[in-house]
Amino acid sequence: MSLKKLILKCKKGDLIAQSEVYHLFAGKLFPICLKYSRTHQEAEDNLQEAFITIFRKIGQFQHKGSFEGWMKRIAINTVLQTYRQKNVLNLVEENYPEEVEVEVDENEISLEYLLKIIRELPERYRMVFNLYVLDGYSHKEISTLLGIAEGTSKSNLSRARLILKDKIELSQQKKKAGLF
Amino acid sequence: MIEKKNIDRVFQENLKDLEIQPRKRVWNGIAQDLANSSDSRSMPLWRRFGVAASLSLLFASAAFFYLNSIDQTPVVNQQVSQEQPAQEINAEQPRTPIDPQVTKADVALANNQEKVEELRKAGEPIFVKKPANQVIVTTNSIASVYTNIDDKYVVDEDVFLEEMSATESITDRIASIPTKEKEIEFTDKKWSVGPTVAPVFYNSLQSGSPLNSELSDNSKTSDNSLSVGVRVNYQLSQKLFIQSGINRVDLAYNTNDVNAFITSSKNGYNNINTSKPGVYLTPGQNATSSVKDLNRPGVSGDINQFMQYYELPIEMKYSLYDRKLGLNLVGGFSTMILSDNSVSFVSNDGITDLGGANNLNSLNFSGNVGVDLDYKISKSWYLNVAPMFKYQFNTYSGNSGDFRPYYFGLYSGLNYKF
Repeated sequence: MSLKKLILKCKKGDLIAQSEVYHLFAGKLFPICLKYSRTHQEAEDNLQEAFITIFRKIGQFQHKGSFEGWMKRIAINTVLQTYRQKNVLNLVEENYPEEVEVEVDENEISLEYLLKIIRELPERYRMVFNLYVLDGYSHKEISTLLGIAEGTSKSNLSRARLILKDKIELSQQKKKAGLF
Repeated sequence: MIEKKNIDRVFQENLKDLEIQPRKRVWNGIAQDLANSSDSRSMPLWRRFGVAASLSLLFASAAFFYLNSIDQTPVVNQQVSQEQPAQEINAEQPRTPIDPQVTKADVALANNQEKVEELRKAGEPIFVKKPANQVIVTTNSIASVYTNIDDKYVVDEDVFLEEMSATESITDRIASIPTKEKEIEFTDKKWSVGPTVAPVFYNSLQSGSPLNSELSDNSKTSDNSLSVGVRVNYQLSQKLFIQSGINRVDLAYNTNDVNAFITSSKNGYNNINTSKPGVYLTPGQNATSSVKDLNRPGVSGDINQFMQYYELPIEMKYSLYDRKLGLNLVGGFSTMILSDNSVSFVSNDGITDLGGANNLNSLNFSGNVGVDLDYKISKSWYLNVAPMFKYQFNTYSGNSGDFRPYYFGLYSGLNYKF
């Protein structure tokens, strides 16, 4: 069955079609939730919430763009919604470097570890880093999404990069020293 | 090999095209929510019946509005009516969430199938990544052991896809889940048949008289009308039905407050074929004679027109709600074949047959709309009540004044499903 037909069936509330769509795309949306959420449990809750929203709003999908892209935007918005409800404190840094380089042996670093340190970032830093670096949003868009100033977004991104750099380098040093 | 890299690229390259399967409990939660919201989104029972009551009230109001506008008093009939078609019990099937115990992505992906099974049983999330042409399967715990995920948990992507497509699809698995026997029995019964009977209220949407233009403004009242017949119903889909059958419909109404006079003219009735010449009909109630026939002038009374039709309806029925009690919308049309036709003068002293209307078409039609309430007694039997409004077309030929006939019936009956 084509994706279009599946979507049409989902619009009619067909649970089997919804199941097919879920199993086609859950694996792709879950990493988004993982990197935006602090814990695995929270990520699963967000994924669940995102799919419920997707199936409720699927009637609004007009087949004009990528279905996967549409779902990803909903997943991101779902997580951000949770984030907004938490009323995170504003942390602003005035001076920040534009670019951060890190010494890394890519053979020694796992995607598991990368995900882990993203999730350990403070809430706001995590959101900004994910939105900007991994999902291609501009600082202007991020400022609208998160209700913060563009400067704050840039500052948060910079802080996130530095934290991640420190963690990666520390991890590599530990491995070299045989502590891991 | 250690190299300096832009930190953004480190993350972008590693996390690109990442696929990670969540645990099955996520889908269970989604399916549960969808099933619940599906129930709550569906119109509550009280609201459905509210809609039915509103529609009935609308029809009744329309009827009475026109009645009042032409100064007519409806007569209440006391017939019981019947019939409406079968319902299906599919809607009663619990919308059990599908439990994706074995989803496509986590079945036998790696060469070491035993290990995958073991991990899957442990409920660990499974990671899938696609660098080059390969698929990597691992979990949190394994990833920390095998830092370079490139050994025995890697399979060729083509093999991976082939195995996925060979895996039994969710749709197939759902289809293979046995349904409750009771539900299957209900689903299999697509036909139903039963007698139908309805008290019928007959009148016109506008003032006018098809018998005599002078009597246009006289009040008209429905008189002892009845429809009886057999209705057959076939289920086209879960919510859609088609129904037909045959009814004998006796329709009658009175034109009130008419004076009859003997004249030398035979043309006193415009549209009545009669063997009684010389009777002239005129509005009014001032004649006081108590003679038993029309051979003497000045008799007051009512004119009763009676029509008998055989009605062949074709109607579609759409199910709005289907449980023990069901609610349906009904719409369609009927072909009506005239089988009898008479006009009488009714006075306090007796009834005189005047003949028959000469402007009634032998074939006419009606547009039908209404609602149907049913009550399922068992898997084979159900009762139903259906208030129906039927507007007639092509009833009269030639001069019929502005008489626009319709009838309203309360059809009910006992139906058998097979």
